[in-house]
Amino acid sequence: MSKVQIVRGNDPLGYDGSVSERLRAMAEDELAGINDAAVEDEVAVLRARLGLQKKEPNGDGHNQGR
Amino acid sequence: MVTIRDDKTPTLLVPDNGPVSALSSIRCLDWLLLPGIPVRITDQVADEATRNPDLPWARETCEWIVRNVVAERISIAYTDTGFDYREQFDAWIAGGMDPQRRPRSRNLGEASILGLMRSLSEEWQGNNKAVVLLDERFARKAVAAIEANIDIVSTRAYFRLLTEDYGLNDTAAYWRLVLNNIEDMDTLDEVRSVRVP
Repeated sequence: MSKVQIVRGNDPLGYDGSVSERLRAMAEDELAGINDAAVEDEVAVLRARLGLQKKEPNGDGHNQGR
Repeated sequence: MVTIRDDKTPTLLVPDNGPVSALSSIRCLDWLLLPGIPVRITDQVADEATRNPDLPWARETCEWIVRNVVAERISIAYTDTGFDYREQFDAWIAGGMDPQRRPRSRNLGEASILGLMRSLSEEWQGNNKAVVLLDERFARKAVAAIEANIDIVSTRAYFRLLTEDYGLNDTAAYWRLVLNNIEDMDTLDEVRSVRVP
């Protein structure tokens, strides 16, 4: 399958294309750390809505590989 | 970004097939239940996720949806788009399933989201709030315009939260697994198999 160019516009976490194209782009972005700040913003929102405390970095290799 | 914690319990609304497909592909649909809040998926998402029985995980996805609807852990948000498609699809089956007359389903997921917008703006007010799990660019833009107690969250952020707050392993491992497993999904939107009774 040819690689699909994802048009981001002003939404860094918005993806185009079929589901498989979107998932592929999401996975590649996550592994490359693309738009991490936007992801963290949404994590903060989600955490607040779920009433969770913010996690502090623990330096034990958390999320290693990204 | 400033976020304010409150005591309203949100509903996790899933109107996009991306998150369901990502979790299905790694056999982790139960992750939708981990936060312990009500989960609603649209009928169109349920339909798209289970329509093709040739997908390796379609049968498990179907069983998961049925099992959790019965257990009242998740509920289905019915949309006019989903209703119309089911009517057309049933009529097509009854009419002999001529391949040339098969009802088109491409982009119906996004159409169902637009159909859901009115109920979103009416239902998610006051103490009712929803976290909308959504990746499709146009749908995110459309839902963001709704004046209601809703927050849009991507699958990437949801995975990240689960790994950081719910004790799962590192995010990268899951995305590598998704990447490996979606190789079989390249024709997801084109392949439409029919389960003949």
